[in-house]
Amino acid sequence: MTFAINIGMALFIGPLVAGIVRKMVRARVHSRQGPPIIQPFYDLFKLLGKEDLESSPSLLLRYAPLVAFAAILAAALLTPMGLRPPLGGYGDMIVFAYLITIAAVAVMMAGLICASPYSMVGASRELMMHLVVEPVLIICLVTATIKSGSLLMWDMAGWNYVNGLSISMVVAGIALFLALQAQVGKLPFDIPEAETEIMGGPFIELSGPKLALFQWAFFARQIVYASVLAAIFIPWGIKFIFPWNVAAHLLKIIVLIVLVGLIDVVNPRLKINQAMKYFFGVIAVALIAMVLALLGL
Amino acid sequence: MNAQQLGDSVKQQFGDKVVELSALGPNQLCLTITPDSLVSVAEYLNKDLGCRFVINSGTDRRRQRGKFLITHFFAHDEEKIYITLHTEVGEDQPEVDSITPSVPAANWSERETRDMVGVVPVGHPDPRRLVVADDWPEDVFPLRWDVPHDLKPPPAEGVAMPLLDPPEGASVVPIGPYFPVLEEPEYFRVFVEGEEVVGADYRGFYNHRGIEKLGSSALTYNQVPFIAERICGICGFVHSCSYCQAVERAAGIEVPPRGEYIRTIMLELERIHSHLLWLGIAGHIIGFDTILMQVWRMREPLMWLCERISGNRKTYGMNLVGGVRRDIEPEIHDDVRRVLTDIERQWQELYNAIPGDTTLMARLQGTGILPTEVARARGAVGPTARGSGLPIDVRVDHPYAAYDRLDVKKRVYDGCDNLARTLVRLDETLDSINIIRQALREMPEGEIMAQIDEEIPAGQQAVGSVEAPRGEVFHWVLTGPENRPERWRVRAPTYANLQSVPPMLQGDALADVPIDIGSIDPCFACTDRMEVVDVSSGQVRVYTQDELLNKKY
Amino acid sequence: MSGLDVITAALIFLVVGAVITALIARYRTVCGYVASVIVLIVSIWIAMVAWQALTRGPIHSVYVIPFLNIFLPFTVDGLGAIFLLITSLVATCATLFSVQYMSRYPRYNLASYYPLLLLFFACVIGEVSTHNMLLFLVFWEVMALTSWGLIIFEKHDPEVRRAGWIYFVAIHAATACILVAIIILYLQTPTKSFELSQMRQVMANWLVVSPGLAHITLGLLALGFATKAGILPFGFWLPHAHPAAPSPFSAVLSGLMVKMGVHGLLVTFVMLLPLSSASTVGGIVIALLGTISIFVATLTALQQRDSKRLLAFHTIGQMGYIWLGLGTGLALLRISPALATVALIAGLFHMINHAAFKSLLFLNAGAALYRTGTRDMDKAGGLIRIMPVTAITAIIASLSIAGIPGFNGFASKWLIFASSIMAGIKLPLFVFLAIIAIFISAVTLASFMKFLGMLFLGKLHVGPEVEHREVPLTMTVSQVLTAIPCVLFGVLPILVMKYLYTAVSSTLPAGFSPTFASLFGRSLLNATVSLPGSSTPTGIWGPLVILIAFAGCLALAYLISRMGGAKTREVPMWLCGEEHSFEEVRYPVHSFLLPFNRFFASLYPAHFDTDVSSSGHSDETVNTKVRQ
Repeated sequence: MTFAINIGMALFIGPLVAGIVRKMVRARVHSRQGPPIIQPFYDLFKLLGKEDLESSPSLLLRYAPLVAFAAILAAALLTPMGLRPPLGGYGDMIVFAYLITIAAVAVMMAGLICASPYSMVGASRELMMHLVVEPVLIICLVTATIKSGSLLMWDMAGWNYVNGLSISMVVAGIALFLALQAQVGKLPFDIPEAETEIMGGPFIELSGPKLALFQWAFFARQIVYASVLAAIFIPWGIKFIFPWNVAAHLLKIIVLIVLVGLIDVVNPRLKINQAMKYFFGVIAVALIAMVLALLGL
Repeated sequence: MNAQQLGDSVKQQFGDKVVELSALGPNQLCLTITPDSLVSVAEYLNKDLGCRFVINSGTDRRRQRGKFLITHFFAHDEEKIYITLHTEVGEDQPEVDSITPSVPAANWSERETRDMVGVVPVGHPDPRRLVVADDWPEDVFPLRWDVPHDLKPPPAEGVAMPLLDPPEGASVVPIGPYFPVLEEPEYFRVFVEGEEVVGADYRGFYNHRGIEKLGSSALTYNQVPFIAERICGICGFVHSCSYCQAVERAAGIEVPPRGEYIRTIMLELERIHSHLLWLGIAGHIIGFDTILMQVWRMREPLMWLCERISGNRKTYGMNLVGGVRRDIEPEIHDDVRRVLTDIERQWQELYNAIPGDTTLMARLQGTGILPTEVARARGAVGPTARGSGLPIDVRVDHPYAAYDRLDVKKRVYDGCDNLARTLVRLDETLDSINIIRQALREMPEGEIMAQIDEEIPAGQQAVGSVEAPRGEVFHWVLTGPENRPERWRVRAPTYANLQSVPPMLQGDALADVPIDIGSIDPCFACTDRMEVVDVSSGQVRVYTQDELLNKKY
Repeated sequence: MSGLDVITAALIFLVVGAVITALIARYRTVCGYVASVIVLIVSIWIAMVAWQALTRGPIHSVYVIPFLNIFLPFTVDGLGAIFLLITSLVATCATLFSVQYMSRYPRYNLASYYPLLLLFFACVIGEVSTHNMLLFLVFWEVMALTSWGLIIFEKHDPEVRRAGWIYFVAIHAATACILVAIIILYLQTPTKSFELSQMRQVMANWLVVSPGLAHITLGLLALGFATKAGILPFGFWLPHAHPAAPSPFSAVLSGLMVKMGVHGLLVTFVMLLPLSSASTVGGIVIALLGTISIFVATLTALQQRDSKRLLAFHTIGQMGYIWLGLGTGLALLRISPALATVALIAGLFHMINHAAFKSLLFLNAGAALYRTGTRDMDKAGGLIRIMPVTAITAIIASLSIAGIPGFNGFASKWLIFASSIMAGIKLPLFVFLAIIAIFISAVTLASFMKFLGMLFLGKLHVGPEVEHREVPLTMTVSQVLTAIPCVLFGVLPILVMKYLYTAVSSTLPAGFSPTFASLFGRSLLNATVSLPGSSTPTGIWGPLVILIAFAGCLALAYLISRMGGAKTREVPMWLCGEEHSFEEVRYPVHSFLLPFNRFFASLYPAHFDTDVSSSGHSDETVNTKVRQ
């Protein structure tokens, strides 16, 4: 059942929350009506049926979206979403971080194989963003490891719940929230896709089911990243009885994603070097959290 | 110093090189000089007197005088004088010395004159073709009188304009012709190394419409304003206004004061709408769609207002030679005031929010640097020039319509970057609101259109210019027989400003390219004055006179 | 034991092989096949020996050279067995790869290639199978000379000769350090013996009476071995020498020879040095040096556009990971035996994996060089379209070195990260080292995205003279062979860890390490790390389950993608409507990470990377080319 919950959260709550953000946040701030809440599903299904145009036919390109999608789902199976993660007994946070990395690699691969100047610029930006954003996740999780003595994400969450919040965990949570914006590819950090600069970057040559899978994977990625933050650093509710623990988790991630959506809508896009500079700051915050943890705070 | 005195000083300097000298009122000077002295006179005007190069123009006068008339236009902004520098070259040797080496701003227009009239600028540093299509025959020059306006040369395959290759180690990132943030087809060939732009080349004029040709071969004086207004879909009124002013000056027609005020009000309304439109697009370019949505919402009542006044949201169709066709009736005044107050309030909120938005500032500040000297050398105009510290504004420098009676401020910033250009436009939006209010208050009663009884004599010439939202719109009309201009030359502001884009891009990040291009508020339609393409058949066709008259847009 | 023992047999076989290949060097291909067969036989032989040593315990033997009465004592212990296994893999594949590859050099006599190669392998085998330091030194020196001869194989190229001299000087400086240290120790042994066990007693004695001398000796040894291992700042020779050698030997250099430095280090700090505070200090220094190498070399690698230079810098970086693992282990020996065992296993595991994937990468680069004739990644690209086997093995190798789960690099990096993070709770320094290592692991990924993307993926982009063909069979076979462990050890890391545990625990005092089951669990599916005192496992990596789940998700993704029944159609690339040649829009290699590199430019020494071919262009030339 936990399998079903985690996969379901990633596959269906992801686009749904995206739809909520588009309608309730983005459109409202824009003074627009906005599309229906389930528009992301309409989009996905429509894309799945659309013609798949290939400018550089290649087996690898054909599999890149599948790999991205599968990697995110596999990461979702390692992520605590209100309950002990279904595959929690088979992978720790290092495995999780690398699974997420696979998805990023698949995006870069897609961009590189297409070899369009825009997709190459996009892949290069994706890579650089990954290089500065991923360390934040790692450092925050290491902070939790130092506190809890375990590399397993569920144990970290449990420890945090039992022992109450500590300064280091709060600082780490803040750093992770600052990184969340980029992890889910929202403004001001949607630099790799940058529609008005490089027309979608790595995805410019993709259409139909390939694009649909990448988009769906990204909807799921929002849920996965938000879940890590919600489960480990905001442990409220994880010891509720079923189904209230899942409901509490859902509430937390919806709030997080809506916050992300708000930031998204009131910011222009930064440039890659500005974003890197920003994230070196965030990394510094995360490191402070880790030092605090080492000091026992 | 007035035009006559300026002419005298040129005469003193060059003696009998100046063949003919006449002043058309205090603000316009016509000089005819010998071809061999062209470069030295141009240099004298540009370097010694500080005149700004505007445009040049070629006229086929072989029927009348057996010669080509090459005209270079300069503007002496401090002294409020336009200088028209004529040179005649024989048809047996259609060549003229290029002034581009000493006056770089002439780069494009000399190439255009070569393409259109076939007079070769000798010594031009970049002799590639500019405006005609890649497959246009080498020996057909559209603006010669013996080339029919509906000529359709056979299409050719495998011909392309030679473009620059990227420097070693860099690669091309094509921005255009079809690109999300370019509303019209233009091709910026951007050379990048990593994310850094190390150079650029430009190819435009994909949709050349041949409007100038139509104006001097198929239309009448009073038909031209309507096609002139269609040169641009955003700021069409400036073109029709500018054209009408040129004809009125050439023919000595006095526009009634109320007509002038109405023109002023429409021009300023157009400026507000255009600046708001630009702000929205600029926001969209840097990914800030909230600005786009909110600003365009702000702009909507204004569009409604224009419809209320003219019957159209855009392309008002109000100008005719001699005045305007529609009055702004007293009952509309309240609507105008209400809309303006509304926009002013919202604009103020926006204006206060911008300096505090660090991400926005990070994108605008220090990007797209156009140093003052480069802007001057390349002939930048409008907010592009004023953002680079050049205090030029046609409304003040060469007053027209009712501007000499209104309070117009020049908004000049010397940041030279995208932010400076943005601030210029923001300030001007508020200024425009105030100008309209003042004009409404002070507008006299009376006629809106002059009575024109006599036919306009042939062989007269005059300049008409308007400060469009993007800068100086410049029209020159040489009157002709058959109730139509013999030559009608149009220079849209983007034509001048586009030449400043490559130096802006240099050294910027690839991410800055769209906003750099966007920061001049490019209007490629104006620049191209394009042909109409029938999308369904893919055929390029130029409308005939009858079709133009009967066609409903 | 008398008569011909196992190791001597292998050595003699190789020496005889060297003579034969020298004689028949004129028949270029035949000579290559002969050498391959000899190496294959020896490889199988030493692999069996190693297997026996791992399963049944150390093998001791003494060979007496007839008539001369010289004793050659050999000992194959658990540690040596691991190195023998690496040798058998790398040697076989590299020699087989050479058969066709050496046809690139018609001007050069192969008598200066195969014989030296065989002698080199003989030295490696001898060196890791002896506890006699004199014998060790002899093998060490002959290895240095033969490898030098192989590096300067292309001796008409001044660049190669220069690289050769740098190598020669560096490696002899290292030898000098080791020689001095061993002579000091030899003089102190009561019986004037070169035996390791005797020297260990001297060391134990010194630690009490004259720790200064002990530390100087240790320092000299560590310096020598660090130089050999290519650890910065002493490994400066490596980026010159590795690309200069013929590609198969580059593979041997990176896959095998630098590992000799690791072997020496372990001999020094585990076998020679008794358990003491010196091992903690030594461990911290080693881990620090390792992390410096990881950081500097990998970031420098990002800037390369010469494929083999890029790989050479990564060799330094990956050696850094190995040193980080081993250093963590040594530092923890006195603090947490369990974690120390894990860390040592981690370091050795990564060493094995590195031998596999880095040899493979050099073979891939060699295959690309063989086919396209260039090492400049800007001049060739999209090779997957003509060389699918090479490209796919290159992808496997790149994913392995980048540490993608399911490949071997991940399993060992996972152990290194887990052990150094957990070490950080005791010694905080190690957390920071772990973070740097994890971060650079992502940089490694970036670098190999570039390597893959530029050289193998994308549109085909080669010179007009290049044949559109896969490389010959011997080359593909050797690449596939090397790729097998990359995948196998990635899926079943626990198998390797089991034998590594044997190797490590046999070199440590008996009863020092917790049992294998209590450390890593009993399951074959899961590699778990459980530390004493914790009820739940500390870290878990269950490759099979995760991979099966991943495969399930992949199947789901496939089903979803087919759901709409979308048709596929081929279209030209969208370039905004203007016509462009592919050459002008191809994003060049050095552009790929330029903003990132600029950001880090201040962090590493600019002169380290002496001849950067990609360092851009002066602004002047750019400006003049821009119109107006």
